[in-house]
Amino acid sequence: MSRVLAAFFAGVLFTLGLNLSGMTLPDKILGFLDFTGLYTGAWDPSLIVVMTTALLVHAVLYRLITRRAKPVLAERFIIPPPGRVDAPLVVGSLVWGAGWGLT
Amino acid sequence: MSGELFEAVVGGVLIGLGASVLLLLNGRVAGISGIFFSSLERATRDRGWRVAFVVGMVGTGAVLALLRPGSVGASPASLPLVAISGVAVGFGTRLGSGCTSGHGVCGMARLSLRSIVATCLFMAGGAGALLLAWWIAGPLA
Repeated sequence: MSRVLAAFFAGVLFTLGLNLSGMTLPDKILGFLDFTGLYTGAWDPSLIVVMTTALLVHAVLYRLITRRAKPVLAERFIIPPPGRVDAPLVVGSLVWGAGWGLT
Repeated sequence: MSGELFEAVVGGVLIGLGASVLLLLNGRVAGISGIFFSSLERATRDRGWRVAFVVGMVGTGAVLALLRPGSVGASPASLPLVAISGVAVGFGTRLGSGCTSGHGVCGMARLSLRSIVATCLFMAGGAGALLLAWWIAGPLA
């Protein structure tokens, strides 16, 4: 299998997950981001359930996968090194989060 | 409600698997905003897999929108607001080096402090912007 095909397949899997979990519905995202819903009982925890599940699955598999000397189709793992929490990270995250919440 | 939660879990598993497949086969982190932006730049080295990933996503999305019509929605916001928000998302994700998949799933899976902070902040940004918008304009229906 070529890396291109593998990437295509990964994109398919990922999007299947996004779609099945309802993450392609703005109402579900807004239902989560609207934390006043915690008081009204209307809060939709779906996003955090999705993210936590994906996170746990990937965390386990990440450990197993990176025990390998190299990926199956490539010469090496390219994983960003640990970095500092700096201003661009903070500002950038807040900015895109705001845009995300607005729509 | 339990049906929705079940779908959320199954979907989450698939997302985690998708990211893991990219890592296992290609050795790459599934940071979608980064992959997407790099796929657009002609100068990107090793561009092919990025384009393929984006095509896989968009193609699957299109097919699913047809097969499961209620599963994909449009934003309730006005076009100018969507445009402004698009700029914010584009600028912010590049400045912050990632989004929900890169930081939220992959970064936090590695217990990266940067990603944990980033994820908390973009959720706060989202919640905050929503509250601010409602305070200014009144609740969306």
